[in-house]
Amino acid sequence: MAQSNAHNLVEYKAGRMVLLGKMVEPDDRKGLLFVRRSADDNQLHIHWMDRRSGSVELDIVATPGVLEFRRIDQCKTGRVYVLKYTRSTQRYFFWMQELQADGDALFCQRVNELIASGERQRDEIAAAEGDMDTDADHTTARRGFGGSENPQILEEMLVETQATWLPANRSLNHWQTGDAMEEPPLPFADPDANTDTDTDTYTSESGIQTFDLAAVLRLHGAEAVDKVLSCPSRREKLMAQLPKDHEAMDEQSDILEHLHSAQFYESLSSFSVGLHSGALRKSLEPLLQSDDNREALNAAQVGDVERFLRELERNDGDYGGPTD
Amino acid sequence: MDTENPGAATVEELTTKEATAANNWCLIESDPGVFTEMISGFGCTGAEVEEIWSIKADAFRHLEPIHGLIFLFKWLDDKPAGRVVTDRSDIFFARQVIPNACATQALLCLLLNLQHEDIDLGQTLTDLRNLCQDLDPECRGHRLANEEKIRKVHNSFARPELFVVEESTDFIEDDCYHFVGFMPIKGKLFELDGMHEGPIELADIDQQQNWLDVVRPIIEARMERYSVGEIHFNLMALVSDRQRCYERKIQMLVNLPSQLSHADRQAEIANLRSHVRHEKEKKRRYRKENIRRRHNYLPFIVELLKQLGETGQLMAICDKAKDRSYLCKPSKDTRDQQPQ
Repeated sequence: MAQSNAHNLVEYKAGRMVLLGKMVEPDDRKGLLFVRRSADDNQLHIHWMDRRSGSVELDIVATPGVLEFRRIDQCKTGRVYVLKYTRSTQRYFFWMQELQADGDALFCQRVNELIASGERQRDEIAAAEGDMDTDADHTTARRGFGGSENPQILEEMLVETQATWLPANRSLNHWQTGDAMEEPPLPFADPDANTDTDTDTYTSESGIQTFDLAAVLRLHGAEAVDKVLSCPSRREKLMAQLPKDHEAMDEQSDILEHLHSAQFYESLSSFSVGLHSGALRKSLEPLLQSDDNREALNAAQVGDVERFLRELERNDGDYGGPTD
Repeated sequence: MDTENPGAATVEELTTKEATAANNWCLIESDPGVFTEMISGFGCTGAEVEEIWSIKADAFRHLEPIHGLIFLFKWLDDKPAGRVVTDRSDIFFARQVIPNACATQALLCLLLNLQHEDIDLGQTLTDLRNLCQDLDPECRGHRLANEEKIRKVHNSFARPELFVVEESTDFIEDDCYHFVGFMPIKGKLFELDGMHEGPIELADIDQQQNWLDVVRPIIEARMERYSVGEIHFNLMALVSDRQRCYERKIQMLVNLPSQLSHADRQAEIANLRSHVRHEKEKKRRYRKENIRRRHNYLPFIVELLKQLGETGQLMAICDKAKDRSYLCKPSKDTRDQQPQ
C-alpha cells in the first residue's frame, strides 16, 4: 500500500472505470480520488484509493503540461471524467460518486490548477525553506479487523483522508440498500482521443460579480493561510479565538485542524451568507471596534462583500513586512 | 462522509438563546459523537453510540451486544407498521410533546428500557424512570420536557448564533427529520416512536434468534421505501462501551486460566490493546468535534480575515477567484445555506 505523510490537497469520492476493448465500463467499488504532494520527491501525485479496503491502486505523477483532467460529455448516463496524458493514449476514467454534482466542476478545476502549479509549488517551497515550521504528520498505522465492512476501518480512512479544505458534511448521511452511493454510469464507447470537450465554466447572470466567500477561501486561501500561520504572533492571535484544548500538539496544526473541520466550514458558510444579506453588522461591531474599521462595518451593513474585504486589506498601515 | 443534497435541510439549529430561554429544544445533529456525549451528560455509563454503515449481518458482529437501534429519516405521517401497544406498563414510552426532542427521546426510550450488566443508568435517569413509572405516555412526555438536566444536555449541542436571522417573507419550510428507536423487549421487537400513542410491536423474537436478524428486514424495507423517494436516513446502534469491553477481555486473559497457549494469549492481548488504543483515539476525536460544534467561530473568522488583509493577501485571493470565473448564484446558494 502506497502511503505518504502528506495531507491531501484536494479529494473527491469517485469510482474507477476500466477500458475493456472499445468500451469503458464502471467499476462498482467506492473510491476516493485525491491529490497530494509526495514527501519523497516533492512532486504532486494523483491517487485513487478503494475506500473500503484502503488500498491505493493508482499513483500518477502529475507533471505540468503532460496531464489534464476533463469531463467526458459523450457519456450521458453519468458524470464521467478522464485523466489523460496529452502525449500518449493512456487514460484513466472516473465516475463521480459525490451526491452533489455541482462539486464536480470545482474539483476538476482544482485538479487542473494543482497540475499546472506543480513547478511553481516547488519553487515556492524552496524559497520558503527554513521559514516554515515543519510538522511531521504521523499517519496512524492501519489496524486489521475481522469484518469486511468494519465501520471502524471506514472511520479511520475518513479521518486519514480528511481534505485540506473540502468540508466533510456530517449532518446527514445518505444510505441506499446497495453499497453504491450513486448509480454508476452505463458503459459507453471509448471516445476519440482527439475529441475536444468544453470545460465547465460559471457565468454570472447579471454580470455583477459576487463571491461565495467560504468557497473562495476554500479554493484559493490555503497558501495565504500558510503565510499567516508562519508568523508566531499571528498564530497567537488566532489561537486566542479558538477554544482551549489541553491536548493540542502545537499551535499551527491545531489551527489547521480547525480550518479543515466540518464545523468551521459550516460557520464560514453561515458567515458568508450573513455577510451577503447584511445581517452581520450587529455581530461584527464588537469585533471591528476601531475607527479604521468603520468603512468595513458600513460595507457589511449593505452586504457589499468585496468592499468589506477591500476595507480589511486597506487597514494594513502597521504592516511593513514579515514580523515575528 | 457524504455531502447532502442541496434541497435537504440539515438537522441542526443556530439559536442557542432562543432554545434555552423559551424552554425550546434545539435540533440535534445525527452523529455518534453527539449521542455518545449526551449519554455521558445524562450520567449514564457503559454505553455509547456507533454509526452503522451497512446492515449486512457480519457488519454488526464486532459491535455486539447491540442494545438498540436509532433510525433517523425524513418524517412521513405514516400509519404504524405494527400494533400500537397501550397496555404495557413495563415498557417505558413517552409521547413527544415538544418539537425537536425526538433525538433525546429516542435515546432515552432505549436506555430506560434497557437492563444490561454493562450499563449503569446513573442517578438522573434512574430517578426519571421512577418518576414516570405510573404516568401515561402523554404525561411522561411533559415530564421529560420539564426535566432541566435532560434539556440542558440536549441544548448544549445548539449551534452558536453567528447572527440574528430576520424573518423573511420567502421563508421556506424545512423538511422535518425524525428519530425513532428499535429494540427487543421480552421476546418481542418494538419500535419506539414518540409521534405515536404507544410502542409499536413489530415482531416476535424466538428464543434462539438474534433480534438483529428480526429487525434487519424491517430496516431494509424501510430504507428501500425511503430511498425510492430519495429520502435521507441514518442508522446508529446503541452499544456497550467498546473500550470497557476490550479492557475487560484483557483482564480476563491476564488473570484467569485459559485454553490458549502462552504465545496465543500474548497475541490476543496485543490485539485487544490495539483495539483499546483505537477506541481512545475515537473518544478523543469525538471530544474535539463536540468542542467545535459548540464554538462560536465568528471572532476567529474576523481575525483570520483581518490577518489575511494585513498581510496583503485578501484581495489577491478574491482576484484569483474572479480570474477563474468562479461566481456563486446568490439566490440558490442563499436558499441552500440559509440557517434556520
